[in-house]
Amino acid sequence: MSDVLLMPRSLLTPFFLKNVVCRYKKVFYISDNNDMSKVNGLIAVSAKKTVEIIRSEITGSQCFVVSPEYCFTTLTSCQEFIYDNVKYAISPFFELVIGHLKATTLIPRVNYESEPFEILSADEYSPTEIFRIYLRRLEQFGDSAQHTARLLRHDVLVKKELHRLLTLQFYLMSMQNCGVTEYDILLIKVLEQKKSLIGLLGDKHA
Amino acid sequence: MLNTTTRLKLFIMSFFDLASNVSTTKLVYGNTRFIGFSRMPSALKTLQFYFSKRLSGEINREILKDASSLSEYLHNNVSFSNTDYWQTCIDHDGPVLLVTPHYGPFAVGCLKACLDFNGIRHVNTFYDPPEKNQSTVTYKDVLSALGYNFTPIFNDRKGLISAIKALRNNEALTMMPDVFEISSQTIYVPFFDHLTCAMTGTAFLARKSSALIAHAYVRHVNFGNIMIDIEKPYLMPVSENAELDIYNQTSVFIASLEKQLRRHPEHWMYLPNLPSRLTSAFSKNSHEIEGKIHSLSIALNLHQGKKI
Repeated sequence: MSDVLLMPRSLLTPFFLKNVVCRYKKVFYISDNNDMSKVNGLIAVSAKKTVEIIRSEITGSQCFVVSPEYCFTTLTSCQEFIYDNVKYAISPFFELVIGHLKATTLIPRVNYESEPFEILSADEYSPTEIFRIYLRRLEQFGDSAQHTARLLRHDVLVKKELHRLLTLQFYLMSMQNCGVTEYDILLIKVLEQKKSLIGLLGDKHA
Repeated sequence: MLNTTTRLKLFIMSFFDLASNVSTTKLVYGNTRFIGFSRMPSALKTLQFYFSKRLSGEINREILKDASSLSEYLHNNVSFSNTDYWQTCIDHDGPVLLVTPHYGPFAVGCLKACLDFNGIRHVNTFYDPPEKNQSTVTYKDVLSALGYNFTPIFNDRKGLISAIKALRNNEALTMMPDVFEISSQTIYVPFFDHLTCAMTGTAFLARKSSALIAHAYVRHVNFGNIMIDIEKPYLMPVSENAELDIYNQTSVFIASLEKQLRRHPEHWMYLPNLPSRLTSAFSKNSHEIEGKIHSLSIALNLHQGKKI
């Protein structure tokens, strides 16, 4: 059995971890920078390694702890949905983990009597519905969790992508300055994409 | 314009500012250290940051109150670090673009330009309208205090056309390169070994008009006088690649600002915000640059299936 725990990084406290680690033989934390490798009971794995584990279909009691705000996503690959009149973006990685594993998703609760997690079966809930519940729960956790929710917004993703684009433009211009012409076509594409990203931020910016 | 007692009072008040604005003081001190100053000079420059701010504010208030002795003040108390460079701007046949950020008593610098260019060329100042940026509410009144040779131009579509017309008429235009917003004109350029947002509008105008460009930084000196640090005026190099010209020129504007901040950061209005203006550190190594181009183009889905 493979389960997925959705947990903002800011809430990954020893208390919650204790409640997770005791339920499973292996608990993987998906992170690309190895910063959680020293936390007891967690096995830090990269996104790439996670995909390998999922594809290897190793059986056994395991759980993947996912902080959605750290899942790499792009505008072209994300799934959009509206929650509370705001557009959000779901990483395709998240859909892969839940959809492929048909995993049961755990979402932390603020107030509980015995069970600290809300348990959502993949048979009953789509990734979008699970995400909506996750956002609703985050509202109950206070400022830092709400900040995490803001990081999942579509306009934040647009700004992240714009940052990548402007950085790429800078490097392409540097190469042009050195007389390197092989990136000229890429630069044209960058400028086109920049225009459309600015358009997504609102007409007044175009 | 400000008597000794007023200046002394403002100097003492700067110490109170230093003590009472703890978070700003920490930011200014930390950012001055980041720029490269050691502890004692950074502490001194933090105090000077508040003093410069108070002096600039008070001078603007005095100008608005009574501008009768303004031209005398500009003549006697405002000087240039290099009078030959300024004379070059005065003697130039064509348009002049003065690039001056939110630094020290920049309004006094603009007024000095109005005075010295009077009868030679009209001075226009390009800035955000008050509806967009409340801090510019008093700009028009302060900058037109001499009563002659000045026109404000607002940063909007109509303003851009007015700026082009002014430069075509061989007038002078002041632009502030340290203001930015996210638009199709935004690019990233180097700044303190990182990347920062900059607008290409100034470089666009420079290229379109072939204006003589002069970088100028206005700062308080000698407890009452004003010095305009002016760099050697130049014409923007122009090639067939307009995008590259504009990118390079914008980099030059920001590199000049960085150079001035490495000497005198204390007069820059945005000094407390320096970290928020910096994005990622950038690579200079060509192998690393190629790697970054490759990974970024994949992340942005611009990759064409082979390592570029």
